[in-house]
Amino acid sequence: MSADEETQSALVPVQSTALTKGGAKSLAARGRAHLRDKEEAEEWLRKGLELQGAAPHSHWPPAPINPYAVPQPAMSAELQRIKEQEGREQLRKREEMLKEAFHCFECGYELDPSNPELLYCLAHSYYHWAGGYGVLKNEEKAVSLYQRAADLGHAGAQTKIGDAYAQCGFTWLPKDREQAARWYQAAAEQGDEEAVCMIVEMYQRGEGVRQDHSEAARLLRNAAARGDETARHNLRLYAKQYGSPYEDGDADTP
Amino acid sequence: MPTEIVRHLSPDEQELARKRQELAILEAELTDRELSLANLRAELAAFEGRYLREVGILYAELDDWNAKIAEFAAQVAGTEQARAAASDARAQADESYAAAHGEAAKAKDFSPSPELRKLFTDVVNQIHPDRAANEIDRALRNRLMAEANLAYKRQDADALRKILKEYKSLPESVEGDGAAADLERVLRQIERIVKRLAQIESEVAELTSSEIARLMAKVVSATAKGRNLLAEMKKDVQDRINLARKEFKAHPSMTRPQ
Repeated sequence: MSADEETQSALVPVQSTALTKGGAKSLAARGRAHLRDKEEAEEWLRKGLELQGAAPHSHWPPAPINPYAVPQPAMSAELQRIKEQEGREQLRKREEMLKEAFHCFECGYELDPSNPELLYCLAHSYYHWAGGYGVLKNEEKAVSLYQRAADLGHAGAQTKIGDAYAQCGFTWLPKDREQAARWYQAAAEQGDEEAVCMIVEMYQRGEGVRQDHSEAARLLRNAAARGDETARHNLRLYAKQYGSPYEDGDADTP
Repeated sequence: MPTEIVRHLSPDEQELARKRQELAILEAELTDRELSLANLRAELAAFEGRYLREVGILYAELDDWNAKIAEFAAQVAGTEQARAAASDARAQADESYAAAHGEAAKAKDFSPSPELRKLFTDVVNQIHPDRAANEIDRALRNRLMAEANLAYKRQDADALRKILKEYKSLPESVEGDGAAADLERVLRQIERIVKRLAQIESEVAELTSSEIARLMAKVVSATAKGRNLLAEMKKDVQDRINLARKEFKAHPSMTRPQ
């Protein structure tokens, strides 16, 4: 070892072990890869939401004829054909875009399986785009993804799990009013407007929870303070219906 | 008219004066660069310690669960391939555990007081090996400088004071032996300092391009935007641990009598 090398090594005794040992270095590398994946997953999520938002609505297939509606003048056969063609074209476009959005959410989920928003969007795809939209409706998968997002604190997903336990649009989980109330409550505390409506009704009826108008009023007041118009409206309504627990001066002031 | 006795400097002396000036500038730069290098090392080590303590241990725990899952799977499958996968997973878990619980994880947060910085600057000014007058002096300075680097990283002001005192009290530290060799010595010193500055430059480049430094840069820039990346990572890894634990408990081999 030359004198220079000796100097060098003497001056570098405090070098971080990250630079010399494999273990800590690979943990640091892993941390960086983790962050990279997170960023990329965010990017997929953004892209998927953009596609989902931009997917055109289609008037095809037409809604069943309402027998009570005022009869409309019949369309000419030519116009009907054009409308149908347009509708089919729109529908094809919508399916294509939603399928692509689903693909984006899946890619994001692969990279970051712990992103609550991604879990929620993926679950939404599995639940809503039943048949025809490129993704087969899969309630089991949707519920398990909603559950994961809910466990991670996603308010929208907590409401969905509440819905699932209340069997409100879901059939996968057994009906369990207490569980439903628990999840609605969690979502309502976070400001989910839908959950506020549900849990308030449960408190009023004593469904899954003990009947408690003052708790219902508290949740409504919190929601109204956050700017939830429905809650404000309901607060006025219930004040007339049930009286004192819902009467509190500042709810009416915007 | 006032008269002055002007002593004309010989060309050698003129050269020596010029070189001394150059040396003084280089020495100031060296002090500055050594201090920033020491700061960089200490900051990285402190960040690494924090990262390992907060996130690293969770990775180690995750790896442990994954290894357990792989080991159970190997027991059930009984194939060579499954056994190899299990032993790989266990090796990874052991490595992560050692890294997350090793020396590096013990590094404390680094926030040097002005006094500590001043002491370290004094040490570099007085003891840096590249200012040595002769080889014996140089060896001693090497040792003390290494100790000072460690003490600075530990933020141990007392140790730095002791080092300064020790150097002053040693007879080897007496400098200079005649004017004739001065120019030669100054030139050698300049050469050594220039070399050391280049070394510092390359070490700083190496440090800043290391994984931990890049990770730190990301975390720091996210903090400026109000995001706590380390906390987000912790949450993610904890979630993955929960999943792995669930998978382990639901593993078919768990229900079989061993």
